[in-house]
Amino acid sequence: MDWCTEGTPSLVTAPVVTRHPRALESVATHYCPGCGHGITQRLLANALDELGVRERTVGVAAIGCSVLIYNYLDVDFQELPHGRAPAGATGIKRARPDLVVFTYQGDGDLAAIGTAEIVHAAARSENITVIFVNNCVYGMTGGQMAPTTLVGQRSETCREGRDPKLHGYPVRVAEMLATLDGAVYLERVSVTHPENVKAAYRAIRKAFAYQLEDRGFSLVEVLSPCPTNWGMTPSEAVRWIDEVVSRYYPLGVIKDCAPVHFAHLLEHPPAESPGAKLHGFHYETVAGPEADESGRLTRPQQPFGRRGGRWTAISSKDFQPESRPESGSQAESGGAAGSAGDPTPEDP
Amino acid sequence: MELWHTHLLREKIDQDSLLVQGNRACALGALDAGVRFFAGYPITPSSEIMETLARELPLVGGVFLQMEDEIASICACIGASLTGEVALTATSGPGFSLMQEALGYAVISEAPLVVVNVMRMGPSTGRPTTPSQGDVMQARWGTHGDHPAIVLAASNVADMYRLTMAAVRFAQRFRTPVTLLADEVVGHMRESFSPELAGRYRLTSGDFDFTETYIHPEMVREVHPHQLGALRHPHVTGLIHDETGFPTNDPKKSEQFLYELHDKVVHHRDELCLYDIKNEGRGRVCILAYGSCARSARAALRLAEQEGLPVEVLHLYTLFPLPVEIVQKVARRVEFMLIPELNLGQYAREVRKMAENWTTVVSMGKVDGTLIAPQEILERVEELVGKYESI
Ligand SMILES: Cc1ncc(C[n+]2csc(CCOP(=O)(O)OP(=O)(O)O)c2C)c(N)n1
Ligand code: SF4
Ligand SMILES: [Mg+2]
Repeated sequence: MDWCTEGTPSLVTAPVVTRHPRALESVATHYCPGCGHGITQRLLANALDELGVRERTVGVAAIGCSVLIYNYLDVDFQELPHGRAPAGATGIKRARPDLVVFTYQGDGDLAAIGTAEIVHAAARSENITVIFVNNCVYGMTGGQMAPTTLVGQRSETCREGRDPKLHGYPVRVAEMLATLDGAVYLERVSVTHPENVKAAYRAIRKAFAYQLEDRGFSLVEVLSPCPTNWGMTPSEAVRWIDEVVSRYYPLGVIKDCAPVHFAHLLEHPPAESPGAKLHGFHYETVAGPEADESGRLTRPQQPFGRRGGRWTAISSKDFQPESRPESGSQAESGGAAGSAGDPTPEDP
Repeated sequence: MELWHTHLLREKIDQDSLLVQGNRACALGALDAGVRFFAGYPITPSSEIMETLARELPLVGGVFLQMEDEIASICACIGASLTGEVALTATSGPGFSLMQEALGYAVISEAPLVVVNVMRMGPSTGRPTTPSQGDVMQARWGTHGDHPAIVLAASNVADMYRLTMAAVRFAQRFRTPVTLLADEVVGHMRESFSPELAGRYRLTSGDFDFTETYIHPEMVREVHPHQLGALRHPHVTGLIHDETGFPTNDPKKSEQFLYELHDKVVHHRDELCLYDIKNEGRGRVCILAYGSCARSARAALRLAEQEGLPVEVLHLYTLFPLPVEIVQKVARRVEFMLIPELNLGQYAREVRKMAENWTTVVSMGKVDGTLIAPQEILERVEELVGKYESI
């Protein structure tokens, strides 16, 4: 369990028992049961400890459930207006290049109101680390649609499920930023199962290591459950990420401009999560729109999440075995085209 | 019980009144006033307006859009407005700040639209779930340059309904953005409410049928002076322009343009200034209040009556253009004007400008995030009356 290592500056990891990271405050978080923010912040604290940079790290918090990180991480913190964290981080880093600067932003914050700031921070190749917590929804304001909300996913402002005709398509932030030369390292991870959590830790640590070596802009996108606003139980939410979300947002390295120089950081093989097999730019749309005879897109018939306008948990019907891939291998072979979230015809 | 569907709600309401949330009443007022276009961005404590319209607008053939931020939201509303739609957006402090530049654009391009600002405590993120009236002067002067402003303030659930309708009407008639201010308490409180009764409300400022939309949306399309997409090839710009719609640097024309923008609002104060007076002519102290403080003022009046104190209440629904006539009329006959508000005396300063010659203006600001209780107002009144009697 290398991700539980306590604050040694050495990057050589030794398996140790879980110890409380120095950079993490000893308080109970206010986050909902099953929320991914707590895990992500714990990983961040571990990475800062391991790299030995806690005393010279400045976090820039965004607006959203993410903002409460200032309660839990024992580093200097600044909050900025909604969406503007990368601009503030730029100011800090340019004024004090000796500091380790990271932003911690939600998907509404980073991919909606803060699109300009994140694109230009990447384009300028600011030497900062961005932790982007993507939970496909506006968490703090009560579950409205986010730019990352999946097609068919229900939210407070698309109660019948996201309909591409009305609301457009979800944004794949890491892939979008990959087109910018300034973006040096982009990886997508999830905090569902131990294997995924370990991969997430490695990605976060690596992003900070790149910053220490002045490589430029790096971003780790964390697929994170928000059971409260998805209308699911924590375990359903984890399953939903593994089986649905991480297929639209494939896990793995999206871009890494300097893998050779950093081989020493990569003692571990790539994560063995199912999504990691969908590296790069190959992904399939899950629960995507169906085309009718005229070629027009129609509404998916089986939205996820809240049912019937009530805050009920998603039923296991949505996870019928025949409507999801058997295993990673099937997904890999491209045979997944008609699987996953495709509405089953006999479903009402 | 609260229902999600306002169309369901409407059926129910015919029988008797229901418990409705302020933000939902605002959405209902928008629908009833003919608003068929909404673009917005979620923010506490206004999100319920958006959430209700997300549901309801598609059912009546309207357009609902969630945009990437508040700047885009108001710009989408301006675009829709220029095609003849009746557009509305709703937000709160930080979002209202982002909208300011485009608000100025709406003023100069004379695009009618309604901005609902459910105020929370600021500045910046402030205290998101706490009521405040800190945006009053921002609503007046938030965007740069000399410009007119129409600003209304809602004090309860019924107000959210009827003032939304009034705002739509004013926006269309005066071809300018109208800001409706509410605060967290007004937006989130639930009260029994019936559109019927709210619409038939009478004000001292005159009979005002809130339910009558000034211009039917269809008619707006007819009379729109620079409507896009109507084969008139108009030119709409944020630059100072002359009657052709094209920019001008001519000093005379520029001056004339700015005066015209102002005059169309200020010269119609009698029509725009909505207010209500309780205990008219019987007070030595006038409590001048708006928004949630007006509720406390009305309650304080009842307490004062029990004690036999000479108090009247001037409840303002229109904050800007300044209701100069009525404020001065009242100021001439009272010794004190007491202004309770959830800020550091923003509107009291305006009242002072209007009324200083005739009365003593006493500001009673509160910024701890709690409401002003009727008892607190009563205590101030007792103090003032005591002072008066000892003079
Ligand atoms: C200018 C502005 N607009 C809107 C808001 C309201 N607001 C606060 S948090 C939030 C959503 C944050 O969602 P996300 O970034 O996805 O974070 P999460 O809560 O899901 O972690 C919004 C819209 C704000 N604070 N400022
Ligand atoms: S609302 Fe969602 S993101 Fe916010 S704390 Fe709860 S689970 Fe986490
Ligand atoms: Mg989110």
